[in-house]
Amino acid sequence: MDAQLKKGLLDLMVLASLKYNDSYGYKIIQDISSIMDISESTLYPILKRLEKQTLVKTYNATHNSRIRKYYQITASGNDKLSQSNEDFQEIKRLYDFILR
Amino acid sequence: MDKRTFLRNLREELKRKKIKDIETVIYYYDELIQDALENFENEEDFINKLGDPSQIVQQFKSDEKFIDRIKEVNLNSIRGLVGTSVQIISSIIHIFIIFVISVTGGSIVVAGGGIIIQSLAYLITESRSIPEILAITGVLMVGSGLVLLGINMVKVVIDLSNNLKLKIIRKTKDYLKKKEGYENE
Repeated sequence: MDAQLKKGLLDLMVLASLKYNDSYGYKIIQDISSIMDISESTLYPILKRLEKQTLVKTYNATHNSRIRKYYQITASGNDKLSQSNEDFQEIKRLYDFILR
Repeated sequence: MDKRTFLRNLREELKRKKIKDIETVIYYYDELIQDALENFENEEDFINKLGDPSQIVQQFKSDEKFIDRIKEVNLNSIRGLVGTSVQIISSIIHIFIIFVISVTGGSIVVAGGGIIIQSLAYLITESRSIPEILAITGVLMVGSGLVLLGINMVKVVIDLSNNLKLKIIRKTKDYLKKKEGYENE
């Protein structure tokens, strides 16, 4: 897949992986890697970016007597996901034309 | 490579390339490795999979550049797509909303502060009976509550300011687009 296209989609993939549950770095990669190639060093900048855009927020929780950083989708994150649905319909329309 | 060596090398590389938030990055990888080990992955294999610290930092760098490029494109496209009128109207609405909420928040803080000062003065100036003291304590609480509420209102507005702006731009654009559409029909 085109690298630029993939990069754009990865942000959404990470957001979508948080849609139903809060999650942490290792788990997010496991969840996504089954359908899309993602490396640990790709995920870090994405999480940082999403946090900066307040699409996700973080909190620390103890797990096996160590602290783990959890990511939680925010209201704007959910907005972004539903917005992406509209974008997808548009892209689909364009691809119908490209591939006709 | 074991975890300690990996994290040490990574830290050195991050310093060398002047990446911000070194501790956050180290913390992220430390947690990843611990989670992997907990999931019965082999330490050495997992660290090899993470890649060479210099490659990792290189990727961070290229991602930063990528973001900068995207930001530039987004700015240009916002300038291009959104006409001046939309931008001006959106900015006015944006500033107005922030102004109203901030002023309201500010007034609530001042009101709360007034209540606190007055009830404190009432308490201090003369000796009061216990029911009176209890009642004034209640009033004090209400005052503190108001102050906190006001502060939080302002804080939320500041936090959401950017998102709010984008949302208003989008809404204004949609509205104008719709209007334009009707006029064209």
